[in-house]
Amino acid sequence: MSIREVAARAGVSPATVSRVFTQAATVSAATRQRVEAAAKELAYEPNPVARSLARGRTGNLGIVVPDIANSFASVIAKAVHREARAAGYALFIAGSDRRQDEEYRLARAMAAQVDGLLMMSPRIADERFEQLTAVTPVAVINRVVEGIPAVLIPTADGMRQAVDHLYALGHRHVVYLAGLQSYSNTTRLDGFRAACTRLDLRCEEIDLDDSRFSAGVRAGDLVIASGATAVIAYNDEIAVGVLNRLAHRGVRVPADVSVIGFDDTGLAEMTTPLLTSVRLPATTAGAAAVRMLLDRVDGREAPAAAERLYLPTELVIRSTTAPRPGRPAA
Amino acid sequence: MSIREVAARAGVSAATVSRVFTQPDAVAVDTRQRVMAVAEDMRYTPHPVARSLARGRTGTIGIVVPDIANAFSGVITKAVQEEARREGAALFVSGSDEQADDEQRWAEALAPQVDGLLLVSPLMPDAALRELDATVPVVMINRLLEGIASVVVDAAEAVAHAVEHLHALGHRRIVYLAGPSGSYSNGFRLRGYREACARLGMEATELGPFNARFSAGVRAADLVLASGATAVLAYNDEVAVGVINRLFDRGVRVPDDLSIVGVDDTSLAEMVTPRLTTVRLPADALGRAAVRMLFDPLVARGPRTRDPLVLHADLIIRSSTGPVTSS
Repeated sequence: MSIREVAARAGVSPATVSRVFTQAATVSAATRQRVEAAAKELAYEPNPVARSLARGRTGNLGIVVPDIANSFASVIAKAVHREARAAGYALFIAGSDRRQDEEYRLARAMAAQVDGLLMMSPRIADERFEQLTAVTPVAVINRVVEGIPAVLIPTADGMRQAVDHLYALGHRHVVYLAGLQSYSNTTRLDGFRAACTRLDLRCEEIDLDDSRFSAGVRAGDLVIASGATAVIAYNDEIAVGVLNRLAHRGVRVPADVSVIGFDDTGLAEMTTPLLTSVRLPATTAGAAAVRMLLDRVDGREAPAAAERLYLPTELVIRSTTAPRPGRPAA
Repeated sequence: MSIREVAARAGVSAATVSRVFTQPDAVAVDTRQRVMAVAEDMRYTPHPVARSLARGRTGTIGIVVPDIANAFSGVITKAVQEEARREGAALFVSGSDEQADDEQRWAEALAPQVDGLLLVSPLMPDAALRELDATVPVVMINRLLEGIASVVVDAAEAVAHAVEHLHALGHRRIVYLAGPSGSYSNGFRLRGYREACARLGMEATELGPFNARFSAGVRAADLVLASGATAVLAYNDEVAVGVINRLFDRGVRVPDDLSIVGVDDTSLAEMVTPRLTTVRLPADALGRAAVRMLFDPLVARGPRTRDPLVLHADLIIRSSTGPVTSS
């Protein structure tokens, strides 16, 4: 008996049914009575813990993220948390610090204690997933693995928008600061190379093999030395590191150099000037991944069905990009 | 009954006694038996995590933080994660969105799955904390409750240093942007602020309470300008950065027109321009100490002597504070 059937019978949304059983005070008395009556008629067992116990369930979901202090990971984790809570699950989060052995160890430990497991940008070998799915349903964000359902945010299109934007502003020499080897970095690189070829730009790639603020500070000097007038960073944290170092060196943004980040986490709006960034739909991705996972947990989809959901990206133009120095705005 | 007495009687080191209760496989069988016999003889209760051995270890500890997206929570969590890894334990994190009901629910969901539980600035009632601690060993960060282990930061002195710093730069009208009312952290900051203002003969002006977020700082900035203050002490760095952001939009220069001090010293403080003067809370030390308290009998000294461990904060002067300009 699903929450949706109860919702349909009572003429309310599934979210309302969920609220009746989790935060009853937020629902009007009349609605509450109608929902409770429908639940009773349909013999719906509302309490997730009771339901879980009856089916040998824990009432918990888990997510393993690469870096728990990373702003993009925390936006995803927050969205996952919210969606899990709405469905009556508690969420456990673990951070692997991008270590494969650690990631697998955490995933194994979690798998045994949850009803379903999400992994964000996992780095473990493909074969490992078989061992995990033998224990619990698994879904991934930003990784393509045969047989594993995935929410994917390919960023090639967002990168194309970023390069087109810089080109329109007159920039002809652009640097991309590459992050760690990953699905996310690969799709950015694909978009960068394709746009550079199409527009016949002078393009450089600097491989930072890192995704943190400190790597951006380090990259700032490399950008200046390259002579490029525009830089696209793997993520906002690196972009902010670049902004920081350029400010120290007396290089003005955007008057001398334009800077673009990726992610559009809260950070992009905290900097002065505000950061132009390619927005990734982190909240949508987190929520969709939970729903995809719960479809397996609740047996609505075959465990092996490898559903793929692709989400689009969009360039958000703010104040760190401007016409190339010495060139009036077109 | 201390671990040292057990060690002395058994003729081994305190570390060996600790290992007997936490990693028995690492100790020779006869040593283990001798220590166990002495411990039983002396009615020594091993310490929090060892207690959960009886329930069967999960190899996992849990932490509940007020907001998983908050930078300060992130630093604590990372430190806890590293220290837990050193102990061979995995860490499960849960966030509460600063609602006491939720927090209790997440803590209760984690409790049966872990060997020990850390709670960061918990808001739940005393009774709920005691009930939880009866299920699984609990160590709290920034909350005090008789009988439950805790690590706290006393930021009052460092906040007072911040006020003195501003006073020395000529500021006489300072405003404090208060954080969530009732929170342990806000209480300490407020006390340090009020005491220092009183000592220096300044009026202690307060605005708020504000959420501990960037957006609250953006909102607070206009109120600060309307107040006529020349310096601001913000509840935390996120609020301070929100203020800086809005002031930039309003054409107010920092620190020329207005000085700003934050609290936390998360990475954010070094990311903003100008770089933020802030009260550094020892988030890293806090996280590590809490884990050690959970695991190490030498630190925890058994359940009966749970004095809170008090850590202190430091004022870090950067570029967002400067001499007052006479207008």
